[in-house]
Amino acid sequence: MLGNRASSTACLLAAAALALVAPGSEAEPPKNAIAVTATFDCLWWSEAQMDGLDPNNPPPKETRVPIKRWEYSDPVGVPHPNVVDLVVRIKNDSPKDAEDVSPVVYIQWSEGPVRGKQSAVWGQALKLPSQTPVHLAALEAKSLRFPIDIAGKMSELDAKHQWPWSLRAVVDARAPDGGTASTRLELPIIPGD
Amino acid sequence: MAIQLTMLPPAGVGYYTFSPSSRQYGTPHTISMLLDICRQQHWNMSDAPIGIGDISFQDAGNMPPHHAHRHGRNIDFRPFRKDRHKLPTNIHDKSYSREMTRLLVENLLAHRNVHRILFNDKHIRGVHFFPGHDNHLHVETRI
Repeated sequence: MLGNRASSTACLLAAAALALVAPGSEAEPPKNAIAVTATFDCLWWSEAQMDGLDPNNPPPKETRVPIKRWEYSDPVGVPHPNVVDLVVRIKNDSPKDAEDVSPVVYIQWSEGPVRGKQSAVWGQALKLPSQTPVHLAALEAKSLRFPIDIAGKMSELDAKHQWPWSLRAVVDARAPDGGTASTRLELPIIPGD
Repeated sequence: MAIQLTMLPPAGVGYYTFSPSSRQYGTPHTISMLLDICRQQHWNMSDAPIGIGDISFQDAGNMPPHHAHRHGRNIDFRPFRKDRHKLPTNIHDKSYSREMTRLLVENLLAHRNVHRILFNDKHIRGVHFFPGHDNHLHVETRI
Protein backbone atom coordinates (compact mmCIF):
# COMPACT_ATOMS: atom_id res chain seq x y z
CA MET A 1 0.00 0.00 0.00
CA LEU A 2 2.72 2.36 1.09
CA GLY A 3 4.81 1.34 -1.95
CA ASN A 4 1.95 2.09 -4.39
CA ARG A 5 1.47 5.59 -2.92
CA ALA A 6 5.20 6.33 -3.21
CA SER A 7 5.38 5.23 -6.83
CA SER A 8 2.30 7.24 -7.87
CA THR A 9 3.75 10.35 -6.19
CA ALA A 10 6.98 9.84 -8.12
CA CYS A 11 5.02 9.55 -11.37
CA LEU A 12 3.21 12.82 -10.70
CA LEU A 13 6.46 14.65 -9.95
CA ALA A 14 8.07 13.30 -13.10
CA ALA A 15 5.10 14.40 -15.21
CA ALA A 16 5.22 17.87 -13.69
CA ALA A 17 8.95 18.14 -14.39
CA LEU A 18 8.42 17.08 -17.99
CA ALA A 19 5.72 19.64 -18.47
CA LEU A 20 8.06 22.36 -17.23
CA VAL A 21 10.87 21.52 -19.65
CA ALA A 22 8.84 20.27 -22.61
CA PRO A 23 9.75 22.12 -25.83
CA GLY A 24 7.03 23.58 -28.02
CA SER A 25 4.67 24.11 -25.15
CA GLU A 26 1.36 25.62 -26.16
CA ALA A 27 1.37 28.01 -23.18
CA GLU A 28 1.18 31.74 -24.02
CA PRO A 29 4.52 33.48 -24.48
CA PRO A 30 5.46 35.55 -21.40
CA LYS A 31 4.14 39.09 -21.47
CA ASN A 32 6.45 41.99 -20.99
CA ALA A 33 7.13 42.37 -17.30
CA ILE A 34 6.67 46.08 -16.70
CA ALA A 35 7.40 47.62 -13.32
CA VAL A 36 6.38 51.15 -12.41
CA THR A 37 7.27 53.37 -9.46
CA ALA A 38 6.45 57.02 -8.83
CA THR A 39 7.71 59.82 -6.62
CA PHE A 40 7.16 63.55 -6.26
CA ASP A 41 9.97 66.03 -6.61
CA CYS A 42 10.45 69.75 -7.17
CA LEU A 43 13.00 72.45 -7.75
CA TRP A 44 14.16 74.04 -4.51
CA TRP A 45 17.13 75.83 -3.00
CA SER A 46 20.19 73.82 -2.07
CA GLU A 47 21.34 73.93 1.54
CA ALA A 48 24.31 76.07 0.49
CA GLN A 49 21.85 78.57 -1.05
CA MET A 50 19.64 78.55 2.04
CA ASP A 51 22.45 79.51 4.40
CA GLY A 52 22.03 83.25 4.80
CA LEU A 53 19.60 83.46 1.86
CA ASP A 54 18.30 86.97 1.20
CA PRO A 55 14.50 86.49 1.13
CA ASN A 56 14.08 89.81 -0.67
CA ASN A 57 16.38 88.73 -3.46
CA PRO A 58 16.38 84.95 -3.48
CA PRO A 59 18.50 82.97 -5.93
CA PRO A 60 16.80 80.72 -8.48
CA LYS A 61 15.73 77.30 -7.27
CA GLU A 62 17.84 74.86 -9.23
CA THR A 63 18.15 71.76 -7.08
CA ARG A 64 15.81 68.83 -7.54
CA VAL A 65 14.63 67.51 -4.20
CA PRO A 66 12.21 64.67 -3.48
CA ILE A 67 9.18 65.66 -1.42
CA LYS A 68 6.86 63.45 0.60
CA ARG A 69 4.64 66.35 1.63
CA TRP A 70 4.02 69.97 0.71
CA GLU A 71 4.33 72.03 3.85
CA TYR A 72 4.43 75.71 4.70
CA SER A 73 6.28 75.81 8.01
CA ASP A 74 9.66 77.32 7.15
CA PRO A 75 9.40 79.42 3.99
CA VAL A 76 12.96 78.65 2.98
CA GLY A 77 13.83 75.36 4.63
CA VAL A 78 10.77 73.27 3.84
CA PRO A 79 9.74 72.87 0.19
CA HIS A 80 6.32 74.19 -0.73
CA PRO A 81 6.67 74.57 -4.50
CA ASN A 82 4.11 76.05 -6.84
CA VAL A 83 4.57 73.07 -9.12
CA VAL A 84 5.51 69.51 -8.20
CA ASP A 85 6.63 66.92 -10.68
CA LEU A 86 5.24 63.44 -10.54
CA VAL A 87 8.18 61.33 -11.65
CA VAL A 88 7.12 58.02 -13.13
CA ARG A 89 9.82 55.41 -13.58
CA ILE A 90 8.99 52.50 -15.84
CA LYS A 91 11.24 49.48 -16.01
CA ASN A 92 11.21 46.65 -18.47
CA ASP A 93 12.02 43.60 -16.38
CA SER A 94 11.84 41.17 -19.29
CA PRO A 95 14.70 39.97 -21.52
CA LYS A 96 13.08 41.42 -24.65
CA ASP A 97 12.33 44.95 -25.81
CA ALA A 98 9.06 46.60 -24.88
CA GLU A 99 7.67 48.95 -27.51
CA ASP A 100 5.22 51.78 -26.97
CA VAL A 101 4.86 51.59 -23.24
CA SER A 102 2.51 54.35 -22.23
CA PRO A 103 1.76 55.40 -18.68
CA VAL A 104 -1.68 56.77 -17.90
CA VAL A 105 -1.84 59.11 -14.91
CA TYR A 106 -4.91 60.14 -12.99
CA ILE A 107 -4.81 62.66 -10.17
CA GLN A 108 -7.33 63.52 -7.48
CA TRP A 109 -7.43 66.34 -4.97
CA SER A 110 -8.81 66.00 -1.47
CA GLU A 111 -10.70 69.28 -1.01
CA GLY A 112 -12.16 70.72 2.14
CA PRO A 113 -12.59 73.83 4.27
CA VAL A 114 -9.41 75.73 5.14
CA ARG A 115 -9.97 74.94 8.80
CA GLY A 116 -11.63 71.57 8.32
CA LYS A 117 -9.34 68.83 7.08
CA GLN A 118 -11.70 66.23 8.54
CA SER A 119 -14.43 67.38 6.16
CA ALA A 120 -12.27 67.07 3.05
CA VAL A 121 -13.48 64.77 0.31
CA TRP A 122 -11.79 63.37 -2.76
CA GLY A 123 -12.74 65.14 -5.96
CA GLN A 124 -13.11 63.76 -9.43
CA ALA A 125 -10.21 61.79 -10.93
CA LEU A 126 -8.55 63.83 -13.69
CA LYS A 127 -6.47 62.29 -16.42
CA LEU A 128 -3.21 64.11 -17.07
CA PRO A 129 -2.21 64.74 -20.71
CA SER A 130 -0.55 61.67 -22.19
CA GLN A 131 3.10 61.63 -23.09
CA THR A 132 4.80 59.98 -26.03
CA PRO A 133 4.99 56.21 -25.48
CA VAL A 134 8.47 55.00 -24.61
CA HIS A 135 10.58 52.22 -26.00
CA LEU A 136 12.33 50.16 -23.38
CA ALA A 137 15.14 47.80 -24.24
CA ALA A 138 15.46 44.63 -22.18
CA LEU A 139 15.89 45.52 -18.52
CA GLU A 140 15.95 49.23 -19.34
CA ALA A 141 14.24 51.88 -17.18
CA LYS A 142 13.09 55.37 -18.15
CA SER A 143 11.55 58.21 -16.19
CA LEU A 144 8.80 60.57 -17.30
CA ARG A 145 7.80 63.82 -15.61
CA PHE A 146 4.26 65.05 -15.14
CA PRO A 147 4.14 68.61 -13.72
CA ILE A 148 1.22 69.34 -11.40
CA ASP A 149 0.25 72.92 -10.57
CA ILE A 150 -0.36 73.04 -6.82
CA ALA A 151 -0.45 76.84 -6.56
CA GLY A 152 -3.05 76.96 -9.33
CA LYS A 153 -5.25 74.51 -7.45
CA MET A 154 -4.89 76.58 -4.27
CA SER A 155 -5.94 79.73 -6.12
CA GLU A 156 -8.93 77.97 -7.61
CA LEU A 157 -10.08 76.74 -4.19
CA ASP A 158 -9.22 79.92 -2.31
CA ALA A 159 -12.26 81.72 -3.71
CA LYS A 160 -14.43 79.05 -2.07
CA HIS A 161 -12.42 79.16 1.20
CA GLN A 162 -11.31 75.63 0.48
CA TRP A 163 -7.89 73.98 0.65
CA PRO A 164 -6.43 71.05 -1.28
CA TRP A 165 -5.52 68.84 1.67
CA SER A 166 -3.93 66.11 -0.37
CA LEU A 167 -2.97 65.14 -3.90
CA ARG A 168 -3.26 61.54 -5.06
CA ALA A 169 -1.78 60.12 -8.23
CA VAL A 170 -2.58 56.76 -9.78
CA VAL A 171 -0.30 55.51 -12.53
CA ASP A 172 -1.01 52.64 -14.90
CA ALA A 173 1.67 51.53 -17.34
CA ARG A 174 0.77 49.27 -20.19
CA ALA A 175 2.81 47.55 -22.88
CA PRO A 176 1.04 46.74 -26.17
CA ASP A 177 1.41 43.00 -25.67
CA GLY A 178 -0.47 43.12 -22.41
CA GLY A 179 2.12 43.66 -19.69
CA THR A 180 0.73 46.04 -17.09
CA ALA A 181 1.77 47.61 -13.82
CA SER A 182 0.36 50.28 -11.61
CA THR A 183 1.18 52.32 -8.54
CA ARG A 184 -0.32 55.11 -6.51
CA LEU A 185 0.98 57.71 -4.11
CA GLU A 186 -0.22 60.66 -2.09
CA LEU A 187 1.19 64.07 -1.23
CA PRO A 188 -0.28 65.64 1.92
CA ILE A 189 -0.56 69.43 1.61
CA ILE A 190 -0.13 71.17 4.94
CA PRO A 191 -0.86 74.90 5.33
CA GLY A 192 0.86 77.18 7.80
CA ASP A 193 -0.74 78.07 11.11
CA MET B 1 -10.43 101.62 11.90
CA ALA B 2 -7.59 100.14 9.84
CA ILE B 3 -4.64 98.69 11.73
CA GLN B 4 -1.40 100.57 11.11
CA LEU B 5 1.40 98.05 10.76
CA THR B 6 5.13 98.67 10.72
CA MET B 7 7.70 96.80 8.66
CA LEU B 8 10.50 94.96 10.39
CA PRO B 9 13.71 96.40 8.95
CA PRO B 10 15.17 93.73 6.63
CA ALA B 11 18.49 93.89 8.46
CA GLY B 12 19.29 94.81 12.02
CA VAL B 13 21.13 93.97 15.19
CA GLY B 14 20.71 90.43 16.55
CA TYR B 15 18.52 88.96 13.83
CA TYR B 16 18.24 87.86 10.24
CA THR B 17 15.09 87.33 8.20
CA PHE B 18 13.98 84.32 6.20
CA SER B 19 10.77 85.79 4.78
CA PRO B 20 10.42 88.68 2.33
CA SER B 21 9.84 92.11 3.88
CA SER B 22 6.35 92.16 2.36
CA ARG B 23 5.44 89.43 4.88
CA GLN B 24 7.05 91.08 7.90
CA TYR B 25 4.67 93.80 9.04
CA GLY B 26 3.70 93.94 12.70
CA THR B 27 1.97 96.21 15.13
CA PRO B 28 4.30 98.92 16.43
CA HIS B 29 4.40 97.16 19.82
CA THR B 30 5.20 93.81 18.20
CA ILE B 31 8.04 95.24 16.11
CA SER B 32 9.33 97.10 19.14
CA MET B 33 9.27 93.88 21.17
CA LEU B 34 11.15 92.06 18.39
CA LEU B 35 13.84 94.70 18.23
CA ASP B 36 14.21 94.61 22.04
CA ILE B 37 14.62 90.83 22.08
CA CYS B 38 17.06 90.89 19.18
CA ARG B 39 19.19 93.63 20.76
CA GLN B 40 19.35 91.52 23.90
CA GLN B 41 20.34 88.50 21.81
CA HIS B 42 23.12 90.51 20.21
CA TRP B 43 24.51 91.52 23.58
CA ASN B 44 24.42 87.94 24.86
CA MET B 45 25.43 85.98 21.72
CA SER B 46 26.48 88.28 18.95
CA ASP B 47 27.37 85.38 16.64
CA ALA B 48 23.92 83.77 16.93
CA PRO B 49 21.30 86.04 15.41
CA ILE B 50 17.61 85.13 15.69
CA GLY B 51 15.89 83.94 12.50
CA ILE B 52 12.59 85.76 11.94
CA GLY B 53 10.05 84.58 9.37
CA ASP B 54 6.48 85.53 8.56
CA ILE B 55 4.61 88.16 10.57
CA SER B 56 1.79 89.78 8.53
CA PHE B 57 1.10 91.65 5.34
CA GLN B 58 0.96 95.43 5.48
CA ASP B 59 -2.82 95.41 5.18
CA ALA B 60 -3.12 92.96 8.11
CA GLY B 61 -5.24 90.73 5.92
CA ASN B 62 -5.31 87.06 5.03
CA MET B 63 -1.84 85.59 4.54
CA PRO B 64 -2.10 82.31 2.69
CA PRO B 65 -1.07 79.63 3.22
CA HIS B 66 -1.30 80.59 6.91
CA HIS B 67 -4.46 80.33 8.96
CA ALA B 68 -3.26 83.05 11.30
CA HIS B 69 -0.66 85.79 10.80
CA ARG B 70 -3.21 88.54 10.46
CA HIS B 71 -3.23 91.75 12.46
CA GLY B 72 0.56 91.87 12.94
CA ARG B 73 0.65 89.94 16.20
CA ASN B 74 2.01 86.53 15.12
CA ILE B 75 5.70 85.95 14.46
CA ASP B 76 7.53 82.81 13.34
CA PHE B 77 11.05 82.20 14.68
CA ARG B 78 13.53 79.51 13.79
CA PRO B 79 14.88 77.38 16.63
CA PHE B 80 18.63 77.77 17.12
CA ARG B 81 21.25 75.51 15.63
CA LYS B 82 24.41 74.43 17.42
CA ASP B 83 26.50 75.45 14.39
CA ARG B 84 24.81 78.90 14.37
CA HIS B 85 24.30 78.77 10.61
CA LYS B 86 21.38 80.75 9.22
CA LEU B 87 19.56 77.58 8.26
CA PRO B 88 16.41 75.75 9.34
CA THR B 89 16.44 72.97 11.89
CA ASN B 90 13.92 71.08 13.96
CA ILE B 91 13.74 69.53 17.41
CA HIS B 92 14.61 66.06 16.06
CA ASP B 93 17.68 67.17 14.15
CA LYS B 94 21.14 66.82 15.63
CA SER B 95 21.86 70.42 14.63
CA TYR B 96 19.14 71.68 17.00
CA SER B 97 20.34 73.59 20.08
CA ARG B 98 17.88 73.17 22.91
CA GLU B 99 19.89 75.33 25.27
CA MET B 100 20.04 78.34 22.98
CA THR B 101 16.40 77.94 22.04
CA ARG B 102 15.46 77.71 25.72
CA LEU B 103 17.19 81.06 26.34
CA LEU B 104 15.24 82.61 23.49
CA VAL B 105 11.98 81.27 24.92
CA GLU B 106 12.83 82.61 28.38
CA ASN B 107 13.62 86.03 26.97
CA LEU B 108 10.41 86.08 24.98
CA LEU B 109 8.25 84.99 27.91
CA ALA B 110 9.85 87.62 30.11
CA HIS B 111 8.61 90.32 27.74
CA ARG B 112 5.29 91.79 28.79
CA ASN B 113 3.95 91.83 25.25
CA VAL B 114 4.39 88.09 24.61
CA HIS B 115 1.15 86.20 25.08
CA ARG B 116 1.91 82.62 24.00
CA ILE B 117 4.51 80.49 22.21
CA LEU B 118 3.64 77.40 20.18
CA PHE B 119 6.60 75.02 19.94
CA ASN B 120 6.97 71.28 20.36
CA ASP B 121 10.09 70.79 22.46
CA LYS B 122 8.51 69.41 25.63
CA HIS B 123 11.80 69.93 27.49
CA ILE B 124 11.39 73.70 27.29
CA ARG B 125 9.06 75.14 29.87
CA GLY B 126 6.41 77.64 28.94
CA VAL B 127 5.78 76.58 25.34
CA HIS B 128 2.59 74.98 24.07
CA PHE B 129 2.52 71.88 21.89
CA PHE B 130 0.79 72.35 18.56
CA PRO B 131 1.02 70.09 15.49
CA GLY B 132 3.47 71.35 12.89
CA HIS B 133 5.69 73.24 15.31
CA ASP B 134 8.79 71.06 15.37
CA ASN B 135 10.73 73.46 13.16
CA HIS B 136 9.52 76.90 14.23
CA LEU B 137 8.27 78.86 17.21
CA HIS B 138 4.99 80.65 16.63
CA VAL B 139 4.85 83.63 18.94
CA GLU B 140 1.67 85.58 19.66
CA THR B 141 1.81 89.07 21.11
CA ARG B 142 -0.83 90.88 23.10
CA ILE B 143 -0.90 94.21 21.26
